[in-house]
Amino acid sequence: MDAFETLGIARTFALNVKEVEQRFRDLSRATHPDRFADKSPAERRAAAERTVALNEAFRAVRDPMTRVLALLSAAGRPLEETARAEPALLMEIMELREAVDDARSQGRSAEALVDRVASRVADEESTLREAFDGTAFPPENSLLDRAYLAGVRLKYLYRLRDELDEI
Amino acid sequence: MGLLQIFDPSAKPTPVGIDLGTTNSLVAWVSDGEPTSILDCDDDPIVPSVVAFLPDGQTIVGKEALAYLYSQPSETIVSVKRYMGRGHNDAETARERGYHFAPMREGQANVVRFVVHGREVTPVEVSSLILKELKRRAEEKLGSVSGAVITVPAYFDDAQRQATKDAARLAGLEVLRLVNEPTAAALAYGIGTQRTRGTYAVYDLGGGTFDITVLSLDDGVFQVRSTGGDSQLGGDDMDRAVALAMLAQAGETEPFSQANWRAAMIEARRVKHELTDRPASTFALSLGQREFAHELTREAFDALILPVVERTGPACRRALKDAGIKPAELDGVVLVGGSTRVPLVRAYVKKLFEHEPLTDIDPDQVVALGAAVQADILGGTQQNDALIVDVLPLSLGVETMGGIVEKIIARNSTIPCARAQQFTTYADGQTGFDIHVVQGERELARDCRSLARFTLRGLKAQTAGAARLMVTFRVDENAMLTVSAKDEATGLEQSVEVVPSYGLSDEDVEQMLMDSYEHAEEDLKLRQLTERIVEAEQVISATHKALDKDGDLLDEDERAELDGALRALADSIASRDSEGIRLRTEALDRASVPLAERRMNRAMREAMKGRTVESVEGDVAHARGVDAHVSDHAQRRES
Repeated sequence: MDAFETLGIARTFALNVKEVEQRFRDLSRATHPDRFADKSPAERRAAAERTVALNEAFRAVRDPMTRVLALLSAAGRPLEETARAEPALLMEIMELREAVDDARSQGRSAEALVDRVASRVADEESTLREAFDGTAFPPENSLLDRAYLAGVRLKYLYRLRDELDEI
Repeated sequence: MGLLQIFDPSAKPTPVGIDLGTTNSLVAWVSDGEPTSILDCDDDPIVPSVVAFLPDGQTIVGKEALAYLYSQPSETIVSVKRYMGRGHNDAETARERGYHFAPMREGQANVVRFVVHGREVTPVEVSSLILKELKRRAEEKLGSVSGAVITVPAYFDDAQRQATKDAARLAGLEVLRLVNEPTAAALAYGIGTQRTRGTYAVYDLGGGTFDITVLSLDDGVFQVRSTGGDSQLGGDDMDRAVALAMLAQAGETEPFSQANWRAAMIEARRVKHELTDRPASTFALSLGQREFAHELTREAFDALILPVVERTGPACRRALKDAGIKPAELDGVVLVGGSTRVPLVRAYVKKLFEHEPLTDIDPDQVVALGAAVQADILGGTQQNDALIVDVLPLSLGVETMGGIVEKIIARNSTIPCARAQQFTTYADGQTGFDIHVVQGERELARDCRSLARFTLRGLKAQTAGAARLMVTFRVDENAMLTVSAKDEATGLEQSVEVVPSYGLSDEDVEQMLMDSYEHAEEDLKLRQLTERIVEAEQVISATHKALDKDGDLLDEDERAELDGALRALADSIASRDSEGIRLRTEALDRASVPLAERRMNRAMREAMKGRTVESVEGDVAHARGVDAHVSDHAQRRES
């Protein structure tokens, strides 16, 4: 049972986090151990396990990166821990990072660079939507291959974006 | 037969809320929907968190113990909370407070031990005496107490929470839940029950500690967005500033005699209280042979304490920044702690947070009252729809090569939660390994709080990296950790030997419990029988209720089995057969698993009705537990 099934939602990349959160809350309200304080130990255990599974599931789908991981796993193509992006992308990311450092140390705005990262992220995300937001799950192989590559790239791009946000 | 009285089934036991504070402690309950503190014979709700150990072995708790502060300062323990879950080598322990500490001995748990009249007591024992006093008060008023919600600071780590639980156990109190103090304060204001979302600052200025917490509440889920504070700042600092000024005005110069200083501190406190609702007050000092009296205006007082109050500013601003929120975006500010009665503090908070702070509830009682609200939700009779969920306050991780911390569960994860981590051997023929669990946000293990070391043994000797061990870290609703391990190759559960870095082992606590009974053996047996009967009756009643409501979920055979288990347990209770009750309670538990699982599925299906999420698919009827979930996840990662 994957995170999407646990929450009773479709396996898609684009999702309305607010709606899913509402679903998560509704389910939590039904399963939280606090609701079972006066019930039998068997029910208390069952409640605790469901709640843990729900918390894990929501954590997995809420964040786009972990959502990608969950989708790829569910589609039978889990992202390898050792998967590396192609050299060209690694190079691009290094250059971007340096450019941002330079701009900031010289007091220039890094806005344009931040936008560039955002647009690269958007490109990869649209590939994922194409692969996972159609009707068939798992998607056909060629789509899945592209989605896998997008997942690898996003690992780097999301990290870079977070770093830029933090500064 | 004090024990039987506690479990007297004819008296309806009441759940209570307890604020186990650094300076003061309180106990409260919900009476007709209204949280209320339990008062002593002088109508005072406060029990000072002070325990005096007398030479004859007697202990005195609370107001009466304060008298011993001067006559035997090192045997009268104040602020014991500062030592909870702390070890010998902690900065907090080293701070000069005039106590005698026992040296750490080989093979002993790393906990602080106060030496009082030649005997050693741990902070857990001292706290348990305070809790016993609170329990005694509650029982006097309510007849019997069914369990307690106890509050702890939001930043309390696992060891400190465990110490608090141990203290409750020693005091004979069942802990319904440990709740974060700021969460409790918010609950007292109906935040979480009447209001379901918003972001709140909780400003807690006590006698000797200052805490600031930014909480967000989203549909009943409390999240600690940031915490900060100063563990050495509080109302006592105001008293000191005022006392200094008074003595200077009286022409006294440093060093002051102990008697003069003490007199000035007491007078400073009195004047502070008086100036809360008056523009001016007069102080009077007896200095040796002479008397000195003078007026102190609110204005002059404010000028004296302003530096103290302003010291809370940086932590507040940092907390807001950490939470990523501007003052104007807050939905409210809750005041906690007696020192927030001072008008200057209220004015300062208002300016700082750009909000009129919430002050309707007595700031000394607000935490205990909130704990009572939570106790009522958890153990009360009326059906309350509120669900209060907290998050893990500090990240949990394990030490890896080079002393680097690998985070297993990040802070602010909604609890309860569980996460599995795979470990493998690094040497040929290795049959076990040690895992060091730490808590904190820093990168290096030595900068984090050491929680425990786990030793896993009994692996099959293989080449390095061949063995795979799945270690599952679980955090329960109290933000407390348990660990289990499974050998992936054999599917066998591994024994996990836990050596807590700080705090007492289970055996230590058990021994302390034994020591506290005069006729340990007999008492323990009787206590055990009584506890088993109470538990068994609860299970029987819960099972009957479940059957009445959802009996249709079982087929005839399952129903017959459950009915049989129910009858067998009832027979054992009737014959007061302690061991039989234990065994048959377990049997009933096993027989009720199918019913429990199906009822959960039904509840989840019900919860999904009414609201639709786009293109719902999957059937929750196949929901399994976390173990399956976690191992699936791991397998997928592996493959």
